[in-house]
Amino acid sequence: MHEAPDPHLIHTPEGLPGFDSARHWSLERGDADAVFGLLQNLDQPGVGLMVTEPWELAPGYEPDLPDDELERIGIRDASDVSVLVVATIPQRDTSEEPGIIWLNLAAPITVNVRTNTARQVILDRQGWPLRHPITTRG
Amino acid sequence: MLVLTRREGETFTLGDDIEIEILDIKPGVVRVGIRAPRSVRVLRSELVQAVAAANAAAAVSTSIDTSSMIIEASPVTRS
Repeated sequence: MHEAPDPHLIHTPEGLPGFDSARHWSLERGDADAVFGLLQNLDQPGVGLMVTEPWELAPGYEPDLPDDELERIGIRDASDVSVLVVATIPQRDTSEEPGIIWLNLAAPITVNVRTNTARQVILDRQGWPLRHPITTRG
Repeated sequence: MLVLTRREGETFTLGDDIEIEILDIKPGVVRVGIRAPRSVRVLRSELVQAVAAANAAAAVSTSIDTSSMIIEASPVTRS
Protein backbone atom coordinates (compact mmCIF):
# COMPACT_ATOMS: atom_id res chain seq x y z
CA MET A 1 0.00 0.00 0.00
CA HIS A 2 1.06 3.51 -0.76
CA GLU A 3 2.53 5.32 2.23
CA ALA A 4 1.74 9.00 2.28
CA PRO A 5 3.23 11.59 4.55
CA ASP A 6 1.19 12.57 7.58
CA PRO A 7 -0.54 14.98 7.61
CA HIS A 8 -1.55 14.07 4.19
CA LEU A 9 -3.25 16.60 1.96
CA ILE A 10 -6.27 15.53 -0.02
CA HIS A 11 -7.96 17.51 -2.76
CA THR A 12 -11.69 17.15 -3.56
CA PRO A 13 -12.26 19.06 -6.81
CA GLU A 14 -16.05 18.68 -6.52
CA GLY A 15 -16.33 19.00 -2.75
CA LEU A 16 -18.16 16.36 -0.73
CA PRO A 17 -21.95 16.18 -0.34
CA GLY A 18 -22.84 18.53 2.48
CA PHE A 19 -19.40 20.18 2.13
CA ASP A 20 -19.89 21.41 -1.40
CA SER A 21 -17.31 24.17 -1.26
CA ALA A 22 -14.63 22.14 0.51
CA ARG A 23 -11.68 21.43 -1.75
CA HIS A 24 -8.76 20.94 0.60
CA TRP A 25 -8.46 18.46 3.44
CA SER A 26 -5.74 16.99 5.58
CA LEU A 27 -5.91 13.39 6.69
CA GLU A 28 -4.32 12.90 10.06
CA ARG A 29 -3.88 9.63 11.79
CA GLY A 30 -2.84 9.50 15.41
CA ASP A 31 -0.31 6.77 14.63
CA ALA A 32 0.17 4.04 12.10
CA ASP A 33 -2.08 1.65 14.03
CA ALA A 34 -4.93 4.10 14.55
CA VAL A 35 -8.22 2.74 13.26
CA PHE A 36 -9.73 6.18 12.65
CA GLY A 37 -8.24 9.18 10.99
CA LEU A 38 -9.40 12.77 11.05
CA LEU A 39 -10.13 14.35 7.70
CA GLN A 40 -9.86 18.04 8.48
CA ASN A 41 -11.57 20.53 6.23
CA LEU A 42 -8.88 23.10 5.53
CA ASP A 43 -11.41 25.41 3.83
CA GLN A 44 -13.52 25.53 7.00
CA PRO A 45 -11.05 25.29 9.86
CA GLY A 46 -12.33 23.52 12.94
CA VAL A 47 -14.54 21.09 11.06
CA GLY A 48 -13.70 17.58 10.03
CA LEU A 49 -14.90 14.07 9.48
CA MET A 50 -13.70 10.92 11.17
CA VAL A 51 -12.85 8.32 8.56
CA THR A 52 -11.62 4.76 8.54
CA GLU A 53 -10.66 2.08 6.11
CA PRO A 54 -13.71 -0.18 6.08
CA TRP A 55 -12.24 -3.60 5.40
CA GLU A 56 -11.65 -4.87 8.92
CA LEU A 57 -14.61 -3.14 10.53
CA ALA A 58 -17.09 -4.14 7.87
CA PRO A 59 -16.05 -7.58 6.66
CA GLY A 60 -17.88 -8.49 3.50
CA TYR A 61 -18.04 -4.89 2.33
CA GLU A 62 -17.46 -5.02 -1.39
CA PRO A 63 -18.41 -1.71 -2.94
CA ASP A 64 -18.69 -1.76 -6.71
CA LEU A 65 -16.96 1.48 -7.66
CA PRO A 66 -18.03 2.41 -11.20
CA ASP A 67 -15.13 3.02 -13.58
CA ASP A 68 -16.49 6.37 -14.67
CA GLU A 69 -16.60 7.54 -11.06
CA LEU A 70 -12.98 6.49 -10.59
CA GLU A 71 -11.92 8.11 -13.86
CA ARG A 72 -13.20 11.43 -12.52
CA ILE A 73 -10.30 11.42 -10.10
CA GLY A 74 -7.84 9.99 -12.61
CA ILE A 75 -7.85 6.40 -11.38
CA ARG A 76 -7.03 3.92 -14.11
CA ASP A 77 -5.58 1.13 -12.04
CA ALA A 78 -6.97 -0.59 -8.96
CA SER A 79 -3.66 -0.07 -7.17
CA ASP A 80 -4.26 3.69 -7.30
CA VAL A 81 -7.39 3.49 -5.15
CA SER A 82 -7.70 3.86 -1.43
CA VAL A 83 -11.17 3.68 0.14
CA LEU A 84 -12.20 5.48 3.30
CA VAL A 85 -15.64 5.61 4.87
CA VAL A 86 -17.06 8.33 7.08
CA ALA A 87 -17.58 7.30 10.69
CA THR A 88 -20.13 8.93 12.96
CA ILE A 89 -18.81 8.70 16.49
CA PRO A 90 -21.48 9.60 19.04
CA GLN A 91 -20.57 12.52 21.25
CA ARG A 92 -21.30 12.25 24.94
CA ASP A 93 -23.94 14.95 24.86
CA THR A 94 -26.08 13.50 22.10
CA SER A 95 -28.87 11.02 22.22
CA GLU A 96 -27.00 8.64 19.97
CA GLU A 97 -26.58 5.21 21.46
CA PRO A 98 -23.26 5.15 23.29
CA GLY A 99 -20.74 2.59 22.20
CA ILE A 100 -22.00 2.40 18.65
CA ILE A 101 -20.14 3.96 15.76
CA TRP A 102 -21.86 4.26 12.43
CA LEU A 103 -20.04 3.76 9.14
CA ASN A 104 -21.38 5.21 5.91
CA LEU A 105 -20.96 2.31 3.52
CA ALA A 106 -23.32 3.83 0.96
CA ALA A 107 -20.93 6.61 -0.01
CA PRO A 108 -17.25 5.66 0.30
CA ILE A 109 -14.62 8.33 -0.18
CA THR A 110 -12.31 7.10 -2.90
CA VAL A 111 -8.81 8.51 -3.00
CA ASN A 112 -6.37 8.42 -5.89
CA VAL A 113 -3.25 7.68 -3.86
CA ARG A 114 -0.93 8.86 -6.63
CA THR A 115 -2.44 12.35 -6.79
CA ASN A 116 -4.29 12.52 -3.43
CA THR A 117 -7.43 13.55 -5.30
CA ALA A 118 -10.65 12.23 -3.82
CA ARG A 119 -14.36 12.11 -4.31
CA GLN A 120 -17.23 10.59 -2.41
CA VAL A 121 -18.95 8.02 -4.58
CA ILE A 122 -22.65 7.52 -3.93
CA LEU A 123 -23.48 3.87 -4.54
CA ASP A 124 -27.08 3.58 -5.61
CA ARG A 125 -28.90 0.25 -5.74
CA GLN A 126 -26.01 -1.70 -4.19
CA GLY A 127 -27.69 -2.07 -0.82
CA TRP A 128 -24.80 -0.79 1.33
CA PRO A 129 -26.21 1.09 4.32
CA LEU A 130 -25.77 4.76 5.03
CA ARG A 131 -25.52 3.85 8.71
CA HIS A 132 -23.75 0.57 9.40
CA PRO A 133 -23.24 -0.01 13.14
CA ILE A 134 -20.02 -1.21 14.70
CA THR A 135 -19.46 -1.68 18.40
CA THR A 136 -16.64 -0.14 20.33
CA ARG A 137 -14.65 -1.16 23.32
CA GLY A 138 -12.62 1.12 25.47
CA MET B 1 -38.23 25.39 -13.56
CA LEU B 2 -39.25 24.37 -17.05
CA VAL B 3 -42.43 22.29 -16.94
CA LEU B 4 -43.32 19.90 -19.76
CA THR B 5 -46.37 17.71 -20.16
CA ARG B 6 -45.63 14.30 -21.64
CA ARG B 7 -47.69 11.19 -22.23
CA GLU B 8 -46.70 7.59 -21.66
CA GLY B 9 -44.12 6.53 -24.27
CA GLU B 10 -43.15 10.09 -25.13
CA THR B 11 -39.61 11.38 -24.75
CA PHE B 12 -37.64 14.57 -24.47
CA THR B 13 -33.95 15.32 -24.78
CA LEU B 14 -31.56 17.24 -22.58
CA GLY B 15 -28.64 18.71 -24.47
CA ASP B 16 -27.22 16.61 -27.30
CA ASP B 17 -26.96 13.21 -25.79
CA ILE B 18 -29.47 12.68 -23.00
CA GLU B 19 -32.91 11.32 -23.72
CA ILE B 20 -35.63 10.87 -21.13
CA GLU B 21 -38.59 8.58 -21.82
CA ILE B 22 -41.79 8.35 -19.80
CA LEU B 23 -42.21 4.58 -19.62
CA ASP B 24 -45.22 4.11 -17.42
CA ILE B 25 -47.64 6.29 -15.51
CA LYS B 26 -49.65 5.09 -12.55
CA PRO B 27 -51.35 7.10 -9.86
CA GLY B 28 -48.58 8.48 -7.69
CA VAL B 29 -45.73 6.76 -9.59
CA VAL B 30 -43.97 7.49 -12.85
CA ARG B 31 -41.33 5.21 -14.37
CA VAL B 32 -38.74 7.16 -16.27
CA GLY B 33 -36.11 5.78 -18.63
CA ILE B 34 -32.85 7.69 -19.11
CA ARG B 35 -30.48 7.26 -22.02
CA ALA B 36 -27.27 9.10 -21.24
CA PRO B 37 -23.51 8.66 -21.63
CA ARG B 38 -21.88 6.74 -18.79
CA SER B 39 -20.14 9.91 -17.70
CA VAL B 40 -23.49 11.42 -16.71
CA ARG B 41 -24.28 10.50 -13.15
CA VAL B 42 -27.91 9.76 -12.48
CA LEU B 43 -28.82 9.62 -8.82
CA ARG B 44 -32.08 9.88 -6.94
CA SER B 45 -32.02 13.32 -5.35
CA GLU B 46 -33.08 12.05 -1.94
CA LEU B 47 -30.01 9.79 -1.88
CA VAL B 48 -27.66 12.71 -2.56
CA GLN B 49 -29.45 14.69 0.17
CA ALA B 50 -29.22 11.74 2.56
CA VAL B 51 -25.45 11.49 2.02
CA ALA B 52 -25.07 15.25 2.54
CA ALA B 53 -27.11 15.01 5.75
CA ALA B 54 -25.07 12.01 6.91
CA ASN B 55 -21.82 13.91 6.29
CA ALA B 56 -23.15 16.93 8.16
CA ALA B 57 -24.23 14.70 11.06
CA ALA B 58 -20.78 13.08 11.14
CA ALA B 59 -18.93 16.40 11.24
CA VAL B 60 -16.74 16.81 14.27
CA SER B 61 -14.94 19.71 15.79
CA THR B 62 -11.29 19.25 14.92
CA SER B 63 -10.20 20.65 18.23
CA ILE B 64 -10.23 17.06 19.43
CA ASP B 65 -6.79 15.54 19.74
CA THR B 66 -6.79 12.34 17.73
CA SER B 67 -3.35 11.37 18.95
CA SER B 68 -4.83 10.69 22.37
CA MET B 69 -7.99 9.16 21.03
CA ILE B 70 -7.86 5.44 21.47
CA ILE B 71 -10.90 3.69 20.21
CA GLU B 72 -11.02 0.00 19.72
CA ALA B 73 -13.76 -1.02 17.39
CA SER B 74 -15.07 -4.24 16.02
CA PRO B 75 -17.83 -5.36 13.71
CA VAL B 76 -21.23 -5.90 15.24
CA THR B 77 -21.95 -9.59 15.51
CA ARG B 78 -25.60 -10.16 14.87
CA SER B 79 -27.29 -13.00 16.68
